[in-house]
Amino acid sequence: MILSNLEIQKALDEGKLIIDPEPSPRNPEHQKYCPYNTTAVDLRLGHEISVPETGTFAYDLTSPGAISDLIRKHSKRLIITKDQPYRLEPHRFVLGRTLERVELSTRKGPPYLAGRIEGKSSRARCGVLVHFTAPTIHAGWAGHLTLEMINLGPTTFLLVPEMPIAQLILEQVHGELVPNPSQFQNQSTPEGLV
Amino acid sequence: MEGWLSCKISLGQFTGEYAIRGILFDGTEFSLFAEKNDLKFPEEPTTGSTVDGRIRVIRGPIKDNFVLVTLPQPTFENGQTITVRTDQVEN
Repeated sequence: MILSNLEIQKALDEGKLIIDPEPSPRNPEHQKYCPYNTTAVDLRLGHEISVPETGTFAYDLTSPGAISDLIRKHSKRLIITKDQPYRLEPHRFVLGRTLERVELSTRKGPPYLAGRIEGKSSRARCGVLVHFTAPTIHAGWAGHLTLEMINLGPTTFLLVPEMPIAQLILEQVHGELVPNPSQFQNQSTPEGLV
Repeated sequence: MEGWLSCKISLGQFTGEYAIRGILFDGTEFSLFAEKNDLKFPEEPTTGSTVDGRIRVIRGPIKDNFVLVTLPQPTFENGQTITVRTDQVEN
């Protein structure tokens, strides 16, 4: 069941959903952008872009080790401003983050919330995908949402900080939660040795 | 119950984000990205440096010297819930 804009605001008031800074205004005002759609709330682009380097190395996620270090070492962090936005050229891929920190708190008990982050059609019309995999935000999540952005369009797209970049859709979770049950299903003992 | 798992911490891809490395109960390495409020470290890592620190975990079942813990974010290698030695986790 997808939450309406009023239910999203109720979840914010109850602390089941935390978006920091909270999107505002809650209601449309004359000549002012309102981030709440009927069944979603817009999130904005943060002030940093992470640009992956091209190179001869390969990411091997099946090889245990410092994969996070490897990814970080082969990417460059850039600060973007409204005066100096990032020019996302055709066929280029970068990472961004939402300006807002999102928390789907489980501390208040059920019913819990889960979410999905989706792009915005206006960006898609320019050929830009802002989030192209793993859109689910699980109950209990807390943090900024990473945006995997790629320009599939024919022309440069400007990534301007604080521009509405994605929309957050919220859903009510049916039932109680067990921490990561998929992990438990395949191991009958804590050490994982069946 | 909350605990703090020993790990190695270096800068991540964004401000306030850190690259984390740790080891499972059998010595296998895992890695993930985490936010500052889920970490404890004596000094801020600088570019290219790594510091010893701890990452917040939720403790699960314990058996013998092993404990199942849930990390704040999924690891690249082993999902979000991993098995470590009990002496790797402090209160």
